[in-house]
Amino acid sequence: MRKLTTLLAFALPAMGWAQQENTMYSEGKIYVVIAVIGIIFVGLAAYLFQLDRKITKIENEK
Amino acid sequence: MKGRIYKILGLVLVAYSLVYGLLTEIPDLPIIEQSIRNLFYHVSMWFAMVAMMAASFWNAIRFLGTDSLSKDTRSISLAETGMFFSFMGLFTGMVWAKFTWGAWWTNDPKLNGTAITILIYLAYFVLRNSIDDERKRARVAAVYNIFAFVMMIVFIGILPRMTDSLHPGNGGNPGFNSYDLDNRLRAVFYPAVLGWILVGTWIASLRYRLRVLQS
Repeated sequence: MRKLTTLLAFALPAMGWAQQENTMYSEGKIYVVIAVIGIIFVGLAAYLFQLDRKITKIENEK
Repeated sequence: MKGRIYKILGLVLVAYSLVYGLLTEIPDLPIIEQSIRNLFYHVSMWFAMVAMMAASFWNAIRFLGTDSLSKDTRSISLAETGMFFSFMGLFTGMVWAKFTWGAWWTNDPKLNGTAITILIYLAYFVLRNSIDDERKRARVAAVYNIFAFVMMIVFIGILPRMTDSLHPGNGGNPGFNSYDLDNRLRAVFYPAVLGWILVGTWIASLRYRLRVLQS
């Protein structure tokens, strides 16, 4: 379930972009930069949540 | 889930600043041009750092008042996170300086003040590691933390304002706001600052919990 959510988190925006190709190609391709930053951000957020969950798990074991 | 809202709020605000910071209209500024957008990213690192150090300072004082070691653990965790933000601010600032002021490092009072501040806080970590007894360590570290925080305010908040500086709002100017910062910038900058402070608090809390588990 978690893997599916993660997959969706990455796949949904990509599917959105495919439909909005015009947006992605306009405005000097600034949207491409936003997409890259967005991926890094989603990765960072997921990493923080994962770290949080791991620590919580160890705390509960103790 | 308890305490989850601020984490999500922080991430949402940071995400908003990352995306909208690149899309928003900006004032037409010479030399700086598009790089004014760094205001949302570079400057918010420093605001987050000062907030982390202020919280660390507050916990140091509370340790001295209560003698509870968890306050000391909070204090060090927040200082470590603040240190991370200060390095991020320093490196991003160096890149920005190179392309607007022409050098990676200038003798700007704010830059030198920051360098001194970082050294003062590095000494804080060294000082902590040099004392084995945890109560003694906590007490000495708390006293030093108070000194370090006051020095930080002096070196990055007061001294740069008393001489000429390349940074806006310094050198006798009334502040950042009056003519450099218009409302379009504010609408991204303030949420960015708040978002990074919340995310910083989250990271500091992770560090705190890790330290508690380790001890």
